[in-house]
Amino acid sequence: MSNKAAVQALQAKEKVMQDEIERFKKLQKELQKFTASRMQLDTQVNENKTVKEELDRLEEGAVLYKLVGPVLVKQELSEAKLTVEKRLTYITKESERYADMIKETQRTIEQGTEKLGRLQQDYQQALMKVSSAGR
Amino acid sequence: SQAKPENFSRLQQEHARALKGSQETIKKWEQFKYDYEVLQARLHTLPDKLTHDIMVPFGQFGFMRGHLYHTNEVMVLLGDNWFAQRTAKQAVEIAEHRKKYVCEMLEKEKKVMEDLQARSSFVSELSAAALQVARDGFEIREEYDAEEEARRKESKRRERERRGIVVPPPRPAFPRQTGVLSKGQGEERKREEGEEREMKEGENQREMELWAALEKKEAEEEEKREEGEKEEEEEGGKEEEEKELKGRGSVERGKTHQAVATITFSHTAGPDTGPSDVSTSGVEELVYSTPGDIARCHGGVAPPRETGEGEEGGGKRGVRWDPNLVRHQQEKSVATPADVEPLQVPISQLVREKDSLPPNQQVSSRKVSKFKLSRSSN
Repeated sequence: MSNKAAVQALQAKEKVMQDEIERFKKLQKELQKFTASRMQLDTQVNENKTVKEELDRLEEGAVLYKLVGPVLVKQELSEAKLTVEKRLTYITKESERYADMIKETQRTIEQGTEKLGRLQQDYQQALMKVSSAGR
Repeated sequence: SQAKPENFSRLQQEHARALKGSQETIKKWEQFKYDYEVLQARLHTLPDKLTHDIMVPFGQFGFMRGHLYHTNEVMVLLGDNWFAQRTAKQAVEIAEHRKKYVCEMLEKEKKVMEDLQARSSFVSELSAAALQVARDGFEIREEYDAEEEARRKESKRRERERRGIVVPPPRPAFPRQTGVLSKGQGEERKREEGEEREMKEGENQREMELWAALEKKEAEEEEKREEGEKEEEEEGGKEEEEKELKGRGSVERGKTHQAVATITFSHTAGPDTGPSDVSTSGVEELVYSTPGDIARCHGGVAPPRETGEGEEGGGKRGVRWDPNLVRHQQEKSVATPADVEPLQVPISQLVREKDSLPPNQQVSSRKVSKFKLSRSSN
């Protein structure tokens, strides 16, 4: 293989590797986001569970308010209970969804790592070829 | 092994960090608990009065006088932007619930910390032990039981006898200066390499016994010589040794020395006095008045080079031990010191070379027991 051809091959490989690295980084960022939102959802789930318990403990006719922005809006106990339950289920569903997405991303990242490894090997070989051809 | 002192430091670091984290969490929970307790106390006293005069916080730095009304009505945050209006008493209950939850978390955290502490203390003990091993080595202790030892020694001795192994005591560094050879000594030389491994502690004691026997022999010889030469006697503890010698089992090492033809010359020249009798103990002692006596006794052999000297120097002055001599004595078995027979070896075979004296043996005029000398040179 002539020197020029070897150099070209090397450059092509390099580019491919760079692309792969970019994709890999993106994936990792996504994973981080997902994990963060999942943790947040988890806290919300816990909170709503506590609220539900407290609401259950409240007797009938208790005065209930909900803070919407700067306003305290009066709510009824039954309504409040319903709202809280709905919210709870929604948050749990979201949390599960995020969990799946996280798993998915992790798998993709593993594949990406393997691919990157292979590309790096190719790159090294091309590099050696270039250095040997240049000699 | 991996239990080196340096490997422990990293592990201990991690343990310390985890322990610190756990302690901080515990502190946080305890703070929460304390807060709730204070809150409960406040809620308790709040409905005591219809209105309270208070200093109302105003902005960031200021306070203003004010009054607190509706002292029984408390707005409780239930979480997630939900508020409930409760009485003070009910609020106390809510606070109680929350406090209970906090206590549970606190307990969990305390357990975690205990577990961590146990782990870290174990590691530190292990590291201390490893450090000690690295420094002092691992101490292996075995309890000494006199009976057990005696039994073991006996069984070993029996084993050795059964196998027919003759284990001689360690030889002195230089070949024996005496021409005496008996079966034991010859065999000793032959089997030395094979047997060295089999020397056990019992050997030392045995050796002492043998030395004692030999010295006794020596002493007896000297006694006989005393009339002729009036030299000092050596053995103070002769009686003791005699006692020790009694009741000995088979003595492996030959009673070397027996028949040294101790050649003594007296200055009183007389008519052919001839050699004196063999002593009762089996040692042949010869007193020669003239060189002619020697020749007569030993059958026309060339007189030894050092004829003019007295003393039993024959044994000491460079008589080289000749392995060939051993073979004469092999068939005789030596049971007790008394059994050792005089060596029937013509003098010519006892090669005397002045220069074969080992450097550490000094030729002194003072008569020293040959054994003592060779023993001290060991």
